[in-house]
Amino acid sequence: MQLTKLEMKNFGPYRGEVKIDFKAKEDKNLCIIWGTNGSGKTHILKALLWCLYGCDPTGSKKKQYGTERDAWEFIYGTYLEDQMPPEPYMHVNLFFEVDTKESKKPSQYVVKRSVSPRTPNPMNPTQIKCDFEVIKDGRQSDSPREEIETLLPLAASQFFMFHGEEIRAMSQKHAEETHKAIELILEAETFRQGKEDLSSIARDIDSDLDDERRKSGGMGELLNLKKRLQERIQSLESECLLCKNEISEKKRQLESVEEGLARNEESKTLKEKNDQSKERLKANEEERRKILDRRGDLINDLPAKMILPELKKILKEKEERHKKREEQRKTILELKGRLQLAEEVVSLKRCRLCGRPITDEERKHIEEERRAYERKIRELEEGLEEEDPTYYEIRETIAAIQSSEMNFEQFKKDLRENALSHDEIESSLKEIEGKLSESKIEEVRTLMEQKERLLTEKGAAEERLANYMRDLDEQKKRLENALKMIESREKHDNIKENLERQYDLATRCISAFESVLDRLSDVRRRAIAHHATEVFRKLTNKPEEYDRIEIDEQFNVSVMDKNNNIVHRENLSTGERLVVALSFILGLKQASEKVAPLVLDTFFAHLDEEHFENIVKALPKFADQVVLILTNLEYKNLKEMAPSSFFKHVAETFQTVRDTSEFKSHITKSEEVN
Amino acid sequence: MAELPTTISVSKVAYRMFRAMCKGTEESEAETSEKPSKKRGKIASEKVFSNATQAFLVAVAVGVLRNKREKTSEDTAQLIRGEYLRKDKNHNYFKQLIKSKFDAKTDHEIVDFMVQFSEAGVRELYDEFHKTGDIDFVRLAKLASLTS
Repeated sequence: MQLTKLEMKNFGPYRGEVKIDFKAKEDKNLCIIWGTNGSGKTHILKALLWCLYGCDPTGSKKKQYGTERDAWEFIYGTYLEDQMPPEPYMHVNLFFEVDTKESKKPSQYVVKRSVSPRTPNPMNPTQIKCDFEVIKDGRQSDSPREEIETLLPLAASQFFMFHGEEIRAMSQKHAEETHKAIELILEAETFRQGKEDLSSIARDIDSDLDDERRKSGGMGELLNLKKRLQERIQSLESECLLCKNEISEKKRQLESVEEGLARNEESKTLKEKNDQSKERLKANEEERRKILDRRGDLINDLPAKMILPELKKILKEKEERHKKREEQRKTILELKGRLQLAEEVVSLKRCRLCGRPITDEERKHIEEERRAYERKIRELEEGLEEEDPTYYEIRETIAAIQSSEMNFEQFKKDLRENALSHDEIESSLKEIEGKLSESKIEEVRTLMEQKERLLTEKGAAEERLANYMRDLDEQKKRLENALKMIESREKHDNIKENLERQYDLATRCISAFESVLDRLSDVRRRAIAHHATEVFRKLTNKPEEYDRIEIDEQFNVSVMDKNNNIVHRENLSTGERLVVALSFILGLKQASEKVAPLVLDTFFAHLDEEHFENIVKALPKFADQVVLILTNLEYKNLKEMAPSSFFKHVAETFQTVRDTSEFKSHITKSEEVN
Repeated sequence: MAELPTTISVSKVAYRMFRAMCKGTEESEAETSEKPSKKRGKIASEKVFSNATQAFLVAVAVGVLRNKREKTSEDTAQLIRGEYLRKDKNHNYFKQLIKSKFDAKTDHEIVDFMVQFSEAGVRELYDEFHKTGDIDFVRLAKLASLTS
């Protein structure tokens, strides 16, 4: 990569368009940019890195910027409100060329990065927008970021474009910074990510494996269950077979009994008739008992019926007396009524019907009548018949006796009919028994008993069979389920085995990966040490004392003396440590195998004369293109101390100038040294 | 009112007649409540009355119907217990009849009348039973209606 041109507008302290034409050639590969402090030197390095990676490499956050918020923080955020850029727009365009293996002619790249406002006066990140594009040989790239990363990864860029402060930091905090630098050059983060990815895969597999282990467990129990179910099914099937055989046997025996009964069909009919007649006889006797029970009731009622005429006679006599008495009572009541009326008329002295007052004559007549009534009533009451309390009792008794029914005729008739029926049944029985010999009866009875017994036994066997069949169906279903579960477990077992193999493979991959990483790290470490030693030998002012630079497994960078002893850090001077750090960085640059310009920002402070001369002498050979950013003092020293051959390699010299009246910087071409 | 006598006794002759016509020679009144249906086989007609109370009351009715009474000799036998007689509805009918007709005042007097009527009635019943082996109750029922 060869830088050809840098264009900036409104970047940092610069206002308006600013250009730097690097004009690098084969023998003139140096470009010097110098200026006073605060004139914008370091912003040239920042502009390069911001354009390529969108980041602020000098800040604490060495990360890739891309969002509007980050751009705002980096660019606008540095300004106070009254120092806002007059034009809220900035861009940096970087032009460079890259040699390719495919073509003799290098590829031409233009990288453009800009920030423009979405609103006239942007006040926050949402009001600006960032653009980034890479144009290669006149064609815009679809993936600009990847394009830059391929040419010079961000991680490696700090070994090419760095600030003097960084080298000083590295020389002070030796192990930590070198460790970080080596990790960057080894792309350890990428490897760690790769290893983490592999570990994540292994963890996923392990998790799946745990699931499968759980799912495939309990196989022994299932196999036992299967065995038990199979045994039970076998036992049930044999029981069913026995039942079926028993049923068949019973059927056969029944057929035989039926045949026997058919042969004795007549006897059977007679037997049935005989049985029926016996049943009828039994019913007849039962009926006779009931009739005779009625007889008892009839006899119980008989005495009352027999004395009924006598009771009626008594009642008749009592009734005559009763009637006579009733008539007497009626007459007395009538007379009493008349007497009461007479008394009322006499006391009121008026007629009860019309209210007319009665005369004295009439009153006398009424009083006479009243006395006659009194006399008559007295006579009648004296002659009144005595009331007979038994009259009503007897009347009720008669009514009760008459209400009870006593039908001896019906009883006799029923009894006679029952006897006739009895005789008829008995004669029928005699006739049947006459026809049916005792032996036949016995045979038929035996056969019928056998039939009944066989039917019962057959029914019981059929019920048993049905129960066994039900049980069998159930056990078969259970077996089917168990087999399905076994199949599923076996499937899970296979999956488990596969996963175990995968897990084993993943862990072996991790080990292999670690091993490769270790070996690669070792090789790189040795390569870095080798390149660093080469540079160190050119730069050191004690070549007779110091032998080489070594990097141990813990990435500690040490200087070894000629006796192969470590020269302790505290025994090195500040300048020596700076030289060691520079050697190490340049070693890393070489080890990264990338071709890019070396940009050194304010690097020469703290160096003694001899080291300064050594570095200046070797500088043109450090890279194909070297950009030196110097303070005015460094530049002055350089002019005084550098040999004239050094300036032959300088292609261009620029000066950054700060206009303090307008708070802005600009770049001017400086004098031609050669 | 005086209570019924504890036992009703009749002449020994009458007693034998009653017993001949009642089922069971040693039966007690409690046993007489037993249903004839519990007898084995065909019901014998020689025992026309199911119990002595029944026989006694029918005999009293025959005596009343014939208007015949016989004095009980001193040689008597216990036929039934007064308790069973009291429980029978017929006893009340006879009581009303005897009180109205013969001016009997107490239960003892009434029972005496009943015993006298039964002494007469049982002889007629037994005569028929002895001759025919049965008693024609239909005839007796008709006799009552004819008498009226």
